[in-house]
This record gives sequence, C-alpha cells and structure tokens, in this order.
Amino acid sequence: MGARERDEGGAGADAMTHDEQFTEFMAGCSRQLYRTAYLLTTSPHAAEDLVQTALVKSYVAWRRVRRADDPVAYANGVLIKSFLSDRRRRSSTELPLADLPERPPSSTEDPADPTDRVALMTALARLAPLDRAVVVLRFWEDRSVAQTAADLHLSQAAVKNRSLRALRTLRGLLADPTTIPNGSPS
Amino acid sequence: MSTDPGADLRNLLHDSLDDLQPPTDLHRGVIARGRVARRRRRALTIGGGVAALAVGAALVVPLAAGGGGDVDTAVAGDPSLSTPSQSPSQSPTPGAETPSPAGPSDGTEGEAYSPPPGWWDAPSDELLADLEDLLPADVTVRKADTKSEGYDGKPIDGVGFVRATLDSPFGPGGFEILLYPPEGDEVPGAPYRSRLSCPGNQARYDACTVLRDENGERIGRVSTTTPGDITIHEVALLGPDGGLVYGATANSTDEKWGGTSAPSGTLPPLRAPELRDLVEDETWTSYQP
Repeated sequence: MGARERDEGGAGADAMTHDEQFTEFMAGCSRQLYRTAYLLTTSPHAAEDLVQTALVKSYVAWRRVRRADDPVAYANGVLIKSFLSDRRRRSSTELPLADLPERPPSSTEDPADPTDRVALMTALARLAPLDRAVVVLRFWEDRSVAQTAADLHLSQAAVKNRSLRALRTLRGLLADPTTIPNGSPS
Repeated sequence: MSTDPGADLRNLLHDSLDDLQPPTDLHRGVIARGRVARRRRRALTIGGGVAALAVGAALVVPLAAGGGGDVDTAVAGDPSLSTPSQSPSQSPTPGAETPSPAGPSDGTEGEAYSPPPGWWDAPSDELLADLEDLLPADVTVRKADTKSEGYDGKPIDGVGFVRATLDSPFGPGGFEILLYPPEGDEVPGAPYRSRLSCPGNQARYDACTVLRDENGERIGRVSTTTPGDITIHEVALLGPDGGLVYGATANSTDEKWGGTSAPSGTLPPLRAPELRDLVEDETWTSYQP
C-alpha cells in the first residue's frame, strides 16, 4: 500500500509530496490555463472558476496527469471539456452577466493594450460557445482541424465551417465594434 | 494572399493576452477541494456495495418527500426501487445530448460531480409556460429561447432555463431564469455561498441585499447593477434539496448584458421586488423528474 498511498496522496509526508508536486504543477501551468479559460469564457471571474474546476479535477487524477506525455496539455484538455460540459449554463450569462469586460483594466496590472482585449472579449462573447471553442483550439492553441474535430466531437467539415463563420463574425465585430449585433451570431 | 486565413486573429489573440496574468489567489482552495473530491471518489470506489445502497436510498427519499409518501416506509423501502427502470436519472432527458456535468471521457470521468435528478431538470418549455403564468399582468413574453446547442451544433430541447424578451410599460427587456442543481461535495462550505453574499461572485454592484431565513442563514441575494446605460436586477435563492433558482432581468435585449449593451427600454421589465416575488414562487421548484 505504500506506493499507492504515496501516489494518491496519503497522510503525512507522502501527502505533502503529492501536494507539493501538484502545487509546483499549478504554478507552472496556471497562466496558460487562465488565458485559455479567459478566451473561452470571456470573463475573468468565469475564467477563474473554470481554471479552478480543471485544477481540482487534475488534482484528483494527478497520477494520470503526471504520467501523461504533457501534463499541462492534459490539464488544458480537462479545462476545455469542463467548459463544454458547462457551456449551456454559462452561455446563459448567469456569471458573465455583470462582468463582461466593460472597462479597460488599469495599466499597472496589465501592460497589454486594454482596448484590444476588451474589444476582443466583447466580440468573442458574441460567438456561440462551441464556435468560441473552435476559435480557441484552432487559433490560440494552434491545433489542426483534425485535432480540433476530435477534441470537440465534431466532423472536420463542421470545424472548418464553424471556424470560417467565427472568423467572419469576429472580423466584422472587430472592424466596427459599435455595430455589435443583437443576439447570437449565425 | 496569406496561406493562413486566421493569421490576423492568431496575432490578435496573442497580442491581447500575452501579458495577461492570472489572479494571485487562483490556487486558493484548489488542493482542499481536490482532497475532498478524492476522498469522495475513494469512498465511492472502495465502498461500491455500500454506495449502491446509498443510491437506492437517495432515490427513495426524494420520491417520498416530494410525493407526500411515507418517509419511514421509503427509507426502509425495497432496494429494487433503485433499479434503472424506476430511476429518473437513468432516463434520457431532452438535454442528455449536451455533455454531462461530468464531461466527456477525459480520463477523469467518474471523478467529477454528477448532480442527482431534481426540479432543476425541468424542461425549459414547461418553465416558459410557468413564466407566462407568473408574470405581472402588464408584462408579456415577446419571444423566448428554450433550446440548447447539441454537440453537432443543432438545437436540442433545453432543461432548467428560460431566456426571454419581455414587453412591459418600460419597454422591452431581457429576462432569464436558471435552475441549478446542488453543488457537489467537492465544493467546501455553505452551498452556493459565492452567489448568496455581497459582492460574492459579482464584479461590482450598485445595490445588494443578502436574504436570510429565520435562523439567520443565508438563503438568497437580491442585487442591482448598472453597467453603462442599462440596469440589471438579479435574484438568487436557495431551493429545496440544495438547488438554486436564479433570475435576472435587464432593460436590454442583447444576448449578453454589460457596459456595451444597448438599452431597449427605460427600465427592466420587472422591478427588483417583482423579480424577487417571481423567483420565490414555488412553481420553479415543483417539477418532479
């Protein structure tokens, strides 16, 4: 049982080892996970929730995560699937409702151009959640059409169609953010 | 012409987010929640036989409580009541094509919380009918959304939510109601505590009141936010069996409400007290799965 206890985080020093390993892992991957979550949810608070959910799941499955070729990629996959699992309720705006990026963050905390980010997030928020996931996988994570299709349980043709539609929508919105249309894009 | 049709978007994504840092307290509570979830998983794995009996009891008790049956009889009832043929949780629901709360198989399946069936599974079409019955006389439903998006992108019947555009003397506005199942054991502390406190999970608010029961326990929250030119009223209220009813209305018919939303009326179609009365109606928690 010793090895099992150590792997699964038993009491005492073994548990500390497990937790220390995971803490180190979290420190290393949180920025990447948070940025992906931010794009998927378009809300800092929802992104925080999503990352924490993915990390809790990864903690529970730490043995498997640690054995993966790329543990960060594994955790990222958990995050995306968690988003898709919860997308109906999140898409209903309960959490993002009051925290869409309406105001540019202060320059002291964010040296990137806040205008770009606000416009981008506002435009992304107009996409259907699945289209947003396609955008994130294809253009943020640089996954192939085939990989994206497999990850999202879509056909490759559907990925291409959604990708083109999302690109067209985003370009339109970002070119003139004052004409953001009402309702979901189609 | 570029060979990469998404090069501009790719560059924008990276330019916009390269300097984004996660919150400093992002890891807070993760390990504690992970430990609880892991203990729960172990208990379910090791005590499989016991867990099976517990599932049977869990199915029986709501039937007794909700159906007015005899609790003593139900608790001590025939374990066969937990067979799949009599278990609502085993029946495919209209929303079943949507990924389950546990998510697709990702190697952690079985570790994530899966809520029990309950009033939060009410079909959205039924909720829409309830909404039409409960609205004040001078407020009507202009249009409503009760569909979810399936994996293939096609609409499927929704459960547990209604989004609508309402007409009122203040003009048209948005409305939504969401029914949440109980939080899983992996979430420590009081149920839905972030949604029952001020500011809780809100980025900001203009008015916020915590609702308490006679024992002083938090049971709900009423809040108003005024981002940009619109006003948003929100009410969250704990329901039976640990679920949560959430309602919101705004004087905007935009899909998302925020500082860039265009006002569609002078005020939201429902005042905050009207929204509270509506959310508190027992109709929302009366569905029997």
